[in-house]
Formats: sequence, C-alpha cells, structure tokens
Amino acid sequence: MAGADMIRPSRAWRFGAFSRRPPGPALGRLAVLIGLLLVVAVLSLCAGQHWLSPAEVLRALTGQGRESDALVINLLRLPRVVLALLAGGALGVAGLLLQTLVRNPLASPDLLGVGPGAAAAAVLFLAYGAGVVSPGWLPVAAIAGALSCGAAVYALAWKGGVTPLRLVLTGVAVASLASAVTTFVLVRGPANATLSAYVWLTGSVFGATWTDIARLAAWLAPLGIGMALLARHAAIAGLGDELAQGLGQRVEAMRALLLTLAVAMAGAAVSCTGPLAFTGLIAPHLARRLIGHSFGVAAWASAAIGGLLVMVADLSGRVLFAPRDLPAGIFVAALGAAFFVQLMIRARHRAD
Amino acid sequence: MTVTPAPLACQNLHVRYDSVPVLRGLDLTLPPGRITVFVGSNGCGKSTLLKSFARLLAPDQGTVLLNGRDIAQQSSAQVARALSMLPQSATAPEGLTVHDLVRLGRYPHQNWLRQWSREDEAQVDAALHDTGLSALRDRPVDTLSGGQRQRAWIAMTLAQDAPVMLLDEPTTYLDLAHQIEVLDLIDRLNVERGKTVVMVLHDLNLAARYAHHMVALRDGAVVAAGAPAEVMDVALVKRVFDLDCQIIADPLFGTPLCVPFGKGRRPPASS
Repeated sequence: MAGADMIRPSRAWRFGAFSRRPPGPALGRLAVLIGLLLVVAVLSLCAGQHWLSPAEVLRALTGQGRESDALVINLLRLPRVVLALLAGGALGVAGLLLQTLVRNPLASPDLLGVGPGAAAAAVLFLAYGAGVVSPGWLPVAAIAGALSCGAAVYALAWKGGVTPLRLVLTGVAVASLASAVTTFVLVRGPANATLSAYVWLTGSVFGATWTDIARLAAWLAPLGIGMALLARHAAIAGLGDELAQGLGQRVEAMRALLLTLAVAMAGAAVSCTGPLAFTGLIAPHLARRLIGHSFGVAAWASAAIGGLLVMVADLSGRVLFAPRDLPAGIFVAALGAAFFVQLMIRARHRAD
Repeated sequence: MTVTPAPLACQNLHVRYDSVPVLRGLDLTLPPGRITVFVGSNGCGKSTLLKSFARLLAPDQGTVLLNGRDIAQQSSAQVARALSMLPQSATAPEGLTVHDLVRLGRYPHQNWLRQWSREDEAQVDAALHDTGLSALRDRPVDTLSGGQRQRAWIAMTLAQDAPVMLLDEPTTYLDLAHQIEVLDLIDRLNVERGKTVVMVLHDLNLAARYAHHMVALRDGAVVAAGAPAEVMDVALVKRVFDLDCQIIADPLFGTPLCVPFGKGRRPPASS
C-alpha cells in the first residue's frame, strides 16, 4: 500500500513561495474548449449578410483587406463576438459562484433577482426615461436594477445571518415582484416603448459597440481579479457553513463578499445584453460535467462555456433565419430548455 | 515550571438555541491525547456541547478555553489550526473527488500564494494513506460507500493537521461493520498520531469501548464524567436514558456493556 503511494509522481507548480496544484487532465480538456471557442469566434466573424472566408477575416483584422470588409468586421461583427464572450463568460462564472454558495445546482444569477431586477429597471427606463435622458443610460439603469434587487434579496433574507435556503426563497419572491413590475409597465406603459422593451427583454448582442465593450470590460476587470483572489474561499464555502467555519473561514463575511461579486458580474453582463436567461444556469453545469469539479477549473470552464453558448446562440440567430437577425436570447432560452429537460431525465434515472 | 493547559475546557458554559437554554452551566476539562465521548439521550445537549467546543455556537454565558485561552478571542484560522470539526452528515459537492476534498482540509494553512506546498502535499498523502483511501483518491466522493465516504471526511479533517479532532456522530447511517471500521480508524489516529479526540456517539456500548473519558449529559448538565469503567453503572444509565439495564463486562475488552430491558418483554423465568 505504502509502495503504491511512493511510485505516484508528485505534481506541483512551485516557484519560491508560490505553489499550485496543476489541474491534471482537466487542463487538456480546458485547452480543447478554448480551441473550440476560437473556432466559433472565427466562424462568427465569417458569417453574416455576406460570407467572408477566414483568410479575408484575418486580412480585415490586420488592416490589409478591402475597406468594406474591415468596416463590417471591426464595427459590426467583432464587437458582437467580444460582447458575447464577455457577457457569457461573466454570467457563467457568476452562475457557478451562486450554485456553489447556495449548494444547489439549480441556482443561477436570476435566483438573486439579477435578471428580473435588470429587466424591470430597463423596461421602466425605456417607458418613462428614454425621452428625458440619453438612451445611453439604459445599461446604467439596468445594472442599478440588478444590484438593488440583489441587495434587497440579501437584506430580506437576513436573520442574524443568511442561510442558503432563506436566500433562495427570498430570491424567488423578489424576482417575482420585479417581473410583476415589468409586466405592468409593458401592459400600461407607452406603446412605442413596448417593442424595444421586448427586444431588450429577450437579450441580444446585436448593435454592440466598442463603447459598450469598454464599459463592460472596465466593470469586469476588477471583478475578475477579485474572483481570482477569492477562488479558494469559494471552494470552501461550497462545503456548507459548519465545515467552512470548522476550516477557519469567516463564513458570513465571505458569503456577503462572494455574493456581491456574483451579482455585480451578472448585473454588468445583463445590463449590456438583456437577460440571456439560462446562460448562468447551464454554463456551470456543462463546465463541471465536461471539464472538472474542482472550483478553480470549473470557474475557467464556466467562463469559456458561457461565452461559447452566447456566441453560438448569436451565430444561430444570424445564420438560421438569414437575412433576419434574431436575438441570441431566443436561442439561449431554447438551448436552456432542452438542457434542463435532459438534466431532469438524467436525475430521475439516477434516483431510480 | 509551566503546566501545559488542557487543549479544551469550558467554564460555566451556558448555550441557548433559539432562546431555549440547552446547556446550563457546564464545567469540563477534556483530557489531552485521549478519546472523550459525549453520551446522552436525544436533545440532552451533547451535539450542542460539541459545536460550542468547535466555536460553531457562541455561548450565552461562560467561556470555552482552547489551549487555555478564550476561544472567542482567537482568529478563525488560529482555531482551525488547533482543532478540526467533522459535523454530522456532511455532504460533498457533487462530483468532487476524494483527493480534491481532502485537499480542502489544508485551507487554514494556505494563503493566495501558497496553495500546494510540499507540506500540503505530504499532509494530504498521509491523510489518504492513514484512512486507506490512497487507491480511491480520484473517485468522486458521492460514488463511495457510506463507510468510505466517512473515511474521506475524516481524511479531510486529518489533512487539517490539528491536534484536536471533534466528530459529531461519525457513525450515523453506517451499518455495524462500518461503524466498527470508522471507530477503529479514529482509535488508531489517537494512538498513532496522538490526536485528542472528542466525539458524540449514540451507541452507549461502543462509547464505553472506545472512550478513555466519558461525559454523560442530561438536560444540558453533566451527570457524570470519567473513565467508562468508573462512571458507567446501572444508576447512571437509569438517570441518563431512563432505562433499566444490567451492566456486564464486555467479553472482549472488559469495558462495561449495557444490556437494557424495557417495561415490556421480560426474559423467560429460568429458575
């Protein structure tokens, strides 16, 4: 027995005080995933009103091709791809973080009212604010809605501390209230605002501009760094309160910090794209199942799969019904529903 | 000459649970390097006492002393390096492997830079080896049998490398063979690694066999504390469990063995 231990080679990345355990085979799977991501990204740049070959895309990107191609790539297609990657990635990581924190695989950022809160604020803005201030403020309104719903859920769930169960139940109540506000505005608000509200509510990356991307990136950069710093604490929080505390975590403070991180990430993403329901639910599932279960690996994989999902959804929306351009949200929702049913069937078989 | 303080003690400990008093003024000193077992009927406060020692519950009055100092005044990481706690029916996140789980036990020794030092690796390997899980290290915890799973959790607390281990009913939901397997493991950790063990056990006879020090509780107060051979008698079982019994010597270990009888079925008259 001891002999079997001895022959096992030690695997570690160690440089001075720095040390990490390499993810092992998961690293290879992650590399394949990144490769797939790049392929789909290139495909997304090629596809559109008229097809450009990968070579033409490359020339356009490096400024050597036709000027019209460069315009299409740099102003229309590339921003969409980048926005899809950023927003999908942020939703994926936020979803993983929430599923870990509440120890429930069915959790998603919408559970804390992020999607519904952003939607209610955006619809209110489109109905009553658009004429008063510049429409450029829409993402700001949306993120304010997302953050205040998240804060409301946390505050209402507080009772000498916050338990995951109270968080989930309060989240359902607050999300339902936010949805009621959205519906009310859609029914009673000015008719001309309703159509744009519907498009926003579906979620899409069309019309993405470099300004949107710069703003989103500015939000996500510090959050991403925070995530990288706190990953090991998130893994411990996923064991549940008693174990986490037994291992020396300051459970309540860490939970508040990590929840804030998740809500801010998802809120920032949703404010630029609309809800994109299900991304934050499915991406972590696929990441864990296909790439690996330890938190660090799953976080990178969730980001990649989230970005991939939104990119594929956007590509489908552009290609399948061309020349019409359908919002990515429709395809994310369709994929999500199919995935959900499959998950239920699998869970039922396992229960048998 | 300085005297090393006992690793765990409590003074005048009062604990409430949802404003209901559960522990009423306990004074206890747990012997270092020994196995202490808390026994008592359901709701007597034995789990609450264990959680108070682990600082999972804050006392209403009184103090818990860890290495002679108030546990409430020590940092979370400091406490976690001095004692590890395995709660009742812990569940691992789905799909997490044994090795990944045991690795998490190193948390109180790590920081952002240092997340897999030679010491971490050596402790995790030793924990897997001592619990007989080396061959199962890459298996997801949720695919293990009940006994293996409990050993994986013990391995995690072992990797935490704290001199004191607290375990809340480590044998619940296990069949008899696995109960013995887990208790033998805990006994071995006490002997070979010198761990101070404090645990709650439901089974009085197993408690008597494995404990060096037994603490019997009733209604949040200590009824008796001491070596099982000294404290466990008919009167104690009557007071703690409200149960009539005969105490005989365990034919294998010589420890007290409780043979209970209730109000119903009586043994056939033999004479």
